[in-house]
Amino acid sequence: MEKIPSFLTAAAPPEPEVRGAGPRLRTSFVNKGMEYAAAVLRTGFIQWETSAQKGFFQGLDPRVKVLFLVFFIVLVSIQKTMLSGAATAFFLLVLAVSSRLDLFKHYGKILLLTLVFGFLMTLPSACNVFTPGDLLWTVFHFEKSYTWGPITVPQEIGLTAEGLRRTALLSLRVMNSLSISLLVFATTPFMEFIKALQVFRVPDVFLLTITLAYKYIFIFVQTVYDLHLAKKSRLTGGESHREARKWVSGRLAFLFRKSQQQCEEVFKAMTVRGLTTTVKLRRLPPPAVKDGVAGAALLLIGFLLWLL
Amino acid sequence: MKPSEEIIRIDQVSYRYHGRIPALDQVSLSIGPGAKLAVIGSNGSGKSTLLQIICGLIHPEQGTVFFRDRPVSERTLRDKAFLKFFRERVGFVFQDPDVQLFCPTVLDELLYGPLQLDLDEKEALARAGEVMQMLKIEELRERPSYMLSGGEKKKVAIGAVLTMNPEVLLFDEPTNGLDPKTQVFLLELMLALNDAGKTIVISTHDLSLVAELEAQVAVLSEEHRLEKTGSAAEILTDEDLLLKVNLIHEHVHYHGQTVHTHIHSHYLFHKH
Repeated sequence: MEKIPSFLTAAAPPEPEVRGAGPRLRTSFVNKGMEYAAAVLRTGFIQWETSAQKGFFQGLDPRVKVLFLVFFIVLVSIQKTMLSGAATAFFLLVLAVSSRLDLFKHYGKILLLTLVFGFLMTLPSACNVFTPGDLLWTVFHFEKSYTWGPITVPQEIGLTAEGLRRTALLSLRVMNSLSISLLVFATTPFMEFIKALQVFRVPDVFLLTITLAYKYIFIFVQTVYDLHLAKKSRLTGGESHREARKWVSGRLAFLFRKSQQQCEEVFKAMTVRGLTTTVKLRRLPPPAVKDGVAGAALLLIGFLLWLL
Repeated sequence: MKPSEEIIRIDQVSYRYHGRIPALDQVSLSIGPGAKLAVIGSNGSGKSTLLQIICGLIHPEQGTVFFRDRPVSERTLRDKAFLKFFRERVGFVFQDPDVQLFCPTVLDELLYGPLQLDLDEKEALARAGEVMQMLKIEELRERPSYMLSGGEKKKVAIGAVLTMNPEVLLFDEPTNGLDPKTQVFLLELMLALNDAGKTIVISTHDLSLVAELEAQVAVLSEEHRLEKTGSAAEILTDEDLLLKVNLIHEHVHYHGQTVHTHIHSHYLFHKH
C-alpha cells in the first residue's frame, strides 16, 4: 500500500455554526424528476401488491378478466339509457368492494378523469348551438340571431335539457369504462394480463416484447434513481440549472450505453436458452370450473344491464 | 458511549420502501470517531438502506440520525451551510461504481468533489494526483469511466470520495464482484485509512472481510432489527447468532455411505 496522502490526515475544517438559519436550497428540476421516478416505482409496487390481495376479481383467471374488460367496454359504449349506465356503475362498485380495492383512491382517480375527459370535454355539446332542445340555462344573449350559410347562431345561447342528458350519459360511459379498466388492471398482475392476451391470438413474440419493455421500465427507473443518489452524496451545495442539464445529458448517454449493453446481454441469454426465430411461451392452463361459472355470470349480468 | 464521543448516532430508525416494504425496524446504533464498523446481515436485511440513511440520501420514517449531535434530515440538509458541512465529512462508496461515476474522465471524477468544496484548482489537482498515486491509477487519468474494468471503476469511485477528505467513509458491499487481488488492496486501503483517523463503516455479508478488518460488528436480522453488536471476534464465533441471521448454514454431504451434517460458512466454520 502506498503512503496515505498528507491531506487525508489533516484535521477537518472547523465546524461552522450551523443551526438551520442559513440560506436554504431550492428544489431543482432534477429532484422533482426523481420524485416522479420514485412515484413510478411506488405505483408499480402498489399495483402488484393490490393484485396479489385476496378478493373476488384477484381470484379469477386473467383470461376471464380480459374478456370481461372487452365485453363490458363494448357494452358500456352501446348503452343508451341513464338507468342502464347507473346500474352498470353500481355493479362495478360492487365488484370493486368484493375485490377489496381502496375505494377512496380507486374512485378518486376515476372521478377526476371523468370530470376532465367526460364532463368538461362534452359540456360544450350541451349548448343549443349543437343540441337543440329546451333551454335550461342561458349563457349569452344576443340582440338577434345570426346566420352564415349553413351555420345559425340563435339569439340565446345556453345549455339544453337534451344536451345535458347526453353529457351525463357520455360522462357515465367514460366513468364506467374507466372503472372497468382500472378494476382489471388493479386486480391483475401486469405479466398475467399480458399472458392472458393469448386468448386473442396475439403472437408470442409481441407478448415477450411487451413483457421485456415493462420490466425494463422498472430497471431503468431504479438505475436513474441510483444515479441521482450517487450524485446527491457528492453534492455539497445547490447547483445551477446549467450544471443540472449537463449532468442529465451526460447520464442520458450513460443510460443509452447501459441499455444497449443490457439489450445485447438479454439477447445472448435468450440465445443460450434456445431462442430461434420463433418465440414460444408457456400456454396458460385451462380455466377452472369456477372461472367458467364466474365468466358466464358476468356475461349474463352484462346482458341484463344492456336490456335495462 | 457518551454523546460527545459519538460521530454518528442512529436513534430508533425505521424505514419502509414505498411506505410498505420493511427495510429497517427500530434500529439504534452509535459510531465513535475513528471506529471501524461492519454492518452485517443476509440479503435484504437492510444493510445498504442503513448506510444510505446514515449518509442522508434517504430519510427514515421514524427515528433520527445525528452527525456530531446535529440531526440529519431532509429539512436540515436543505440548509446550505449544513449540507456542505455534512457532505464534506461523510463520503459514500456505492456498491455499483457505474452509478457513481458521471464525469467525462477519471481526472474530472477526482476533481469533482474538491471543486464542489470550493478548493482552488491547484490544490484540487494536487489532491487528485496524490490519490491516483495511492490507488495506482495514474495511467487511467484521461480515460472515460466506461473504458475501465470493474476493479478500476471501484478504485476511481473510492478516489472520487477520498479527494473530498471525508471524516467518515461508508462502503456499501465493498468487495462484491472484485477479484482477490483488488479485494486485498481494498482491505489494506480501508485499514490504512482507518489508521489515518478515518471512521470506516461497511455493509457486507463477507465474514472474512469483517474478521480481517477486526471491526466492531452490528448484526441485522432478517426481520430488519439490530440483533446484536460486538467485536468481530465475539460475533464471528457466535454460531447460533450467525445461523439465526442466515449468514451461515447447515450443510449436508456424504463421506462414502455416511451422511454428515455440519455448520458451514465459506470462511469460519467447516467442522466435522
